[in-house]
Amino acid sequence: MEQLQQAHSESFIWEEFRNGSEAAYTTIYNRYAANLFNYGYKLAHDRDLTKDCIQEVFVNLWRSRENLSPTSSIKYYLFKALRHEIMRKLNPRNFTSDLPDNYHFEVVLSAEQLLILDQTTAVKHERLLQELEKLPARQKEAIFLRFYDNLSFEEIAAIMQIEQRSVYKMIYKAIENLQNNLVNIKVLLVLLFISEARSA
Amino acid sequence: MEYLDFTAEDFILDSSFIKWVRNPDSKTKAFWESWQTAHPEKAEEISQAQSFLQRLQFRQDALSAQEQAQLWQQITIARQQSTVTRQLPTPAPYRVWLQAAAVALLLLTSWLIYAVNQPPEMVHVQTAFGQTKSINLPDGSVVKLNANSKLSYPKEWQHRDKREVWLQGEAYFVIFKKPGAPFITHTLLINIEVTGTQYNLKARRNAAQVVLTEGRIKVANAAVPTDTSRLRLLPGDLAEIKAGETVIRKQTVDPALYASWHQQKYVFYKTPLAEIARMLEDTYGLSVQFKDPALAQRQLTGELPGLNLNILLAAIAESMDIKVTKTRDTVFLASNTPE
Repeated sequence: MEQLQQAHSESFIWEEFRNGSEAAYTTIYNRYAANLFNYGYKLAHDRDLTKDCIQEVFVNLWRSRENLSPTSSIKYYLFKALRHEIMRKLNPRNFTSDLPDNYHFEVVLSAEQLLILDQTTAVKHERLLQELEKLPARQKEAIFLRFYDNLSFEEIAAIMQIEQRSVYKMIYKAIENLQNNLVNIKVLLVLLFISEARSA
Repeated sequence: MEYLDFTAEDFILDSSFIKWVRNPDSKTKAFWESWQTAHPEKAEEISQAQSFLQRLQFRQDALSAQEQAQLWQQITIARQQSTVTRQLPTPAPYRVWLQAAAVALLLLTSWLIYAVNQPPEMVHVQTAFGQTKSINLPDGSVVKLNANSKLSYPKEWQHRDKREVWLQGEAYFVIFKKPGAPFITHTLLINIEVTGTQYNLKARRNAAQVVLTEGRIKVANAAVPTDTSRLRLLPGDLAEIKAGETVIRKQTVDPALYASWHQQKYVFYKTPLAEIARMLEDTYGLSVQFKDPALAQRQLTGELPGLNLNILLAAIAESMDIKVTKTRDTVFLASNTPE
């Protein structure tokens, strides 16, 4: 119920914004600027470029407010727009078809977490970190969106412009790589489809 | 699939589970804590999944508060520049109809999509210009909705521990006291949390303002609804914030000046005519024009009847000794003395 209420309040803000409310626009910025930067920087690796792109996203958002369709996830909408903008800037000639050559997604595990861990978990943590660095950029991006921003598989697919099926595979792959003691691999893949289909 | 059949990996990928581990709210916390107690046989899987997610802490690439504010200023400037260059030509009359039809169709479609996507069934009560309404909520609370305002609330309050409503415009709230069941009013800029009390809340013109008449309330910035950003109000306190500001301002006032409208009267104390004009525009949908700009600064003190617009305008004319004329949708204010 709480989640539903949250969803309602999001679409309420969005509706207000589409009707031209400055207050709603401010609310959207205040709510998501930090999240957007955190995500965008991992793609762009450049603070100024990331900020420019966020600015572009918000100015475009305002300009096109009357033509926007309803959404219940503003965050998803903004993430998608920001990624598009960053990709366009990184690869100005041909941004639609392919990822730019310099595409990499930089996720680093936070170090402060280590302080509270005991020796064995610290070792485990270190290994997780190494494994994470080794993952392909796309996998890193997918798990970041899933675990850090809790976006749905469907949303991640739309943001990264890939098939939903590939997102399942990618995230699953990433976990498989990260979690050494994985079991029931094939079962999990099947179950993932079922659980996602059920919750859709 | 039931959680009972979940492996550690399934938990890792479950949205609700992720939320509980990474940033729990009261709902997920209550659910997973009781689920855990009820199913000790899944303790192993749960703790594996939990520890995996806890270790997976990404580095936060943060925007400093100053950078965020600067970026906002740049956006504001860029946005204004883009609007200036996009002045639309005045449409021909037939085009207006065409546009109106297109908009109507668009609105209908949007509404359909919107309605279909809405999970909880909501009740929406709306008032026209010049109209007020008294609403009895399912919990016994009463909301007096001022003109040109809208209140939304869930048809059924299944969650007895939380009462929530959404407001656009202005309303006077008389909240039925229910210990342990906070009453939360959402506006775009602020959220108000109370247990049982009376207050006037106004969310118009990209600003939000609340005045407390009785009891105690907590006001939170809707953009950062954390515990530390909450402001506690006592009777007679006024709190307000404008779009773009980050801090809620507080001052002490006479609540009657803000909340008398629901008793069909207006109380003014050294209130500039400009402010009264804004009130007339917001509640009656009128455009107010000052024939003599200096008039806008003149102040009015006194209690005027608010039952009927014409009587109110006549009372303003008399107490200020000015000339008030009204056409269908415009009010003209002019000095009485010939220049």
